[in-house]
Amino acid sequence: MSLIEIKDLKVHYPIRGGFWNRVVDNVKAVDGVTFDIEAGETYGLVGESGSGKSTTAKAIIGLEKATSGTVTYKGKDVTKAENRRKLDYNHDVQMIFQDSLSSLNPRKRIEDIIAEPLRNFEKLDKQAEKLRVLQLLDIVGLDADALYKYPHQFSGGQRQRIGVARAVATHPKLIIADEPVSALDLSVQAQVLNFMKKIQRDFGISYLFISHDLGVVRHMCNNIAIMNRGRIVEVGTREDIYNEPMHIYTKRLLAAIPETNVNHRKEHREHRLEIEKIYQEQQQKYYDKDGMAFPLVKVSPTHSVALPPEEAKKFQQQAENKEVNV
Amino acid sequence: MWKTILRRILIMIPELIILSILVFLLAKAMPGDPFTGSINPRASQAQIHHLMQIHGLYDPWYQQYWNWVVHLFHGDLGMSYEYQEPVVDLIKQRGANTLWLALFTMVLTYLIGLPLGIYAGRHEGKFQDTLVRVYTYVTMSIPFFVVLVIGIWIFGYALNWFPTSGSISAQASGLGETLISRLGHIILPGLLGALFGTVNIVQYLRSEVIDAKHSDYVRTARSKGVPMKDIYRHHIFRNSLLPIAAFAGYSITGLLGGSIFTEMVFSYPGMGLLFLNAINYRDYTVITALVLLYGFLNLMGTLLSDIALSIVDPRVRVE
Amino acid sequence: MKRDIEDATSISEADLEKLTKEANQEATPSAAKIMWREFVADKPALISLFILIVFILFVIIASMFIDVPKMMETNIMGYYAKPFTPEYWLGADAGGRSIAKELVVGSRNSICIAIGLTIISSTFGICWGLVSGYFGGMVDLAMQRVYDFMMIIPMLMTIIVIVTIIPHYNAITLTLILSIFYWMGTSRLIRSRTLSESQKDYVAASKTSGTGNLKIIFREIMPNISSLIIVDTTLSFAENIGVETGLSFLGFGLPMGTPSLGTLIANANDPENITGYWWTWLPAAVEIIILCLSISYIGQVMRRTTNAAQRRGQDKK
Repeated sequence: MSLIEIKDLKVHYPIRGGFWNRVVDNVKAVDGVTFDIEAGETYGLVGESGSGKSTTAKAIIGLEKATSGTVTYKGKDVTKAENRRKLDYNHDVQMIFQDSLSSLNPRKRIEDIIAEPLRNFEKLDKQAEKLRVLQLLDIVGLDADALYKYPHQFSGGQRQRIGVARAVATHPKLIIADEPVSALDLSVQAQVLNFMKKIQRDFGISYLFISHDLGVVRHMCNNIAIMNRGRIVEVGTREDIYNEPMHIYTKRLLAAIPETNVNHRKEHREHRLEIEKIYQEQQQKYYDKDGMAFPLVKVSPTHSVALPPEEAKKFQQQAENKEVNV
Repeated sequence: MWKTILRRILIMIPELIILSILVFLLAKAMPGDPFTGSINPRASQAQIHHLMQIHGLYDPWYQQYWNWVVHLFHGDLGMSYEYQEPVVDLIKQRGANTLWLALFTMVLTYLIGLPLGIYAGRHEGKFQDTLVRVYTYVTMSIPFFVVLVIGIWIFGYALNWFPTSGSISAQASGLGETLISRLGHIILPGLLGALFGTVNIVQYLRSEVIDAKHSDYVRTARSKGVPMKDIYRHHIFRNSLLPIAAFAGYSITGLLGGSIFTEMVFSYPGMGLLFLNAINYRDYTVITALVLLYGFLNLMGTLLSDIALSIVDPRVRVE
Repeated sequence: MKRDIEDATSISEADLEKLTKEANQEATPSAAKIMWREFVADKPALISLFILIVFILFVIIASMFIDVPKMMETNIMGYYAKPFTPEYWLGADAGGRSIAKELVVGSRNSICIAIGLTIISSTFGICWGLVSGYFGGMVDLAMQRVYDFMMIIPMLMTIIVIVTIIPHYNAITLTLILSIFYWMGTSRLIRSRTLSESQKDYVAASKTSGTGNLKIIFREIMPNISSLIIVDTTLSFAENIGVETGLSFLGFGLPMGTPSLGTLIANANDPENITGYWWTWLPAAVEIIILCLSISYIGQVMRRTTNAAQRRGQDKK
């Protein structure tokens, strides 16, 4: 059984209009997202801004109300607030935010910030709590004198480490990292990412890693889901996504990864332009008449793609044939 | 646009109903009965009882409230016991006086506030700006009634420049003389009200001008070589003027509240003084009518400002 | 799981005290300390603060030694006694009552009511604004409607009517009545700041850390708008001095026999008093002006401390 199972999750925001302010339409921020996260793995959720990946994360952790669908943790649907309370859900599921400055209360000292989840979920006595905070600071590589300082006295990378320390404090099973490094300098990014990996190894934590940067995701994740316009367009292992992308949106994202090798600059550029051309031509085919992605179709045991109906049929038949053969 | 206005008016209706119920219940809670003063004090208990019955005063309150509202819609606010006149007529006479004073004050407020705000914004951080800041700080801090008392003492009694009571002198005759006499009576209270009521305009305009000064469109205009003077006239002033004008409605609340103090200190026969006298004589019909009227005027003022602002600035439209 | 964290670090129980001490030395100054530093750097502000505190203490203590009922008795011998005489420092009014004594007791009454009014109405306004801004949605909408309604009520008139309806009232009931009508400004200010503050990630982080709504409102958000609260409360205090004194001036404030700065200034309503017997009302008027100016000045300085760019006290540590 997976650690957490997200099934057909939808988050719609009503658009009110007309004279009586009735709901005239919905913004479908997240529209039917399904995936599972296994214990100890890092699951990547990738997409451009506005694709609904952050909203998915917020719905999973309970910051955003799900319109429909379920998030199953320990056999309970945690989209319901009372189930979250009963399970002490946030003891096990924590979050790291994108903007490290805004995610740390500027009026609180680091000690109080890191101790906040401890105070709510684990009733430790004062000494034990302080010891734990010091240990956490040590784990993320900060000195003890950080204890009584305020967030603005740290650099972006250090602040994000404090955010990691807070998330790890209760020793959660899953940490949702919402673009944890995209606000940081490249050099600092690697540092923080390596910290996160080390902590994962040490404590056996799962990550739901959200990013728009496929390069970073490749470094971090075993399984990846690509999101576009509120739906998942392609799911697979790292190899599936990077070596055999099938959806045009995925191909386009991959083509957009910056190439560091200057010698191949021209070829890379041509490749990008070609992909872009295909994307523009086939856009109609890959999205339905409302501009939404099609349902996912299994193309291999690990790999699913939102293919257009005609192609989807082929794969379905193949799959059926295989079953018959077996 | 029309939807916004209509919706705003619809929101207003329940407010008006609640206000009228509140005013009615307050009137009911006042000591004594409505016949105090209007009938022979030696009238027997039975006679009063009879009168109460005729006027429906033993009905449940909502029944009485309904009757009162029906009368209200017929323009019947009842009789004043003290003046033995229909309240409507009384308010018409006194209301005109208050209206003139309020209008005069508002015009003066804008005449003083607009140039000061722009001046301060233009000279941001300089000596002139500090001077204006000290002025707004002083006028904002001192309670208005103290200003009135000191003002009438210095300019009314000691220097004898302005009349200290009434709305017109008894000797005035003829159109010209009447007008001048009327004006003479409202100059001092109007000027004091305006001088001490510019804070919002000055502060708003000052920050608007400062914001505009550092904005891209002004920088572009400057780099094109447009003189700063023209930029102020054509861009900044015009942009800030509409919201400032839209504030006029909100200031009605302040003007009306202030009118009670002003009219008391200057013995100026307007609605504020009428209210104070009515309270002293327990003239309930007048009190109810005035509270309701002031509430209604506040409501209309906010309504107008809200609508005006929503036209000027689409961001503030009511949802 | 506690094991895991302990295994991953080299810090043990023994290091705790040493590290805490180290960290303590590196700690940063608190907001109160910064504000105080600012006052020390700004001499006029320090002086006004000092004068204000001394003055408030003086009127409270001095009024304890004054027998109020005896003071309010009419004394024909002192009828409009001139000021600057040994018996009447500031003269006497039509009833031969000492203006100086009335001033002390009146100041005490007016200042205490203003303080009470500020505490009650600001607390209410702050809570209202915080709740309205934090929860948003329907809660906010409903609370905003109540606010809108309170704004259209003709306050002064309604207060006067209520005061005439209530048969027996004293300073405390008066303060409570006034508080009903003077919380809106604060609530609007606090609400708009809370709205923007609630959008920040640290609020989301507190939610995911399992902190309850009330605790988030009062322990997370409120400290972040504390400077706004302090400044607004100080400025409301200056404003509130005008509220009770204004009502008393009109004759609807404190009941008869309880002196207030407003009733003293009301002596000026008599045309003979205002010119002939200026000492009956002018001292009270001047006192109110000085009080309000100094309180608002203190408020302005506090506002400046919250704006780091304008601080003066920083360079001289």
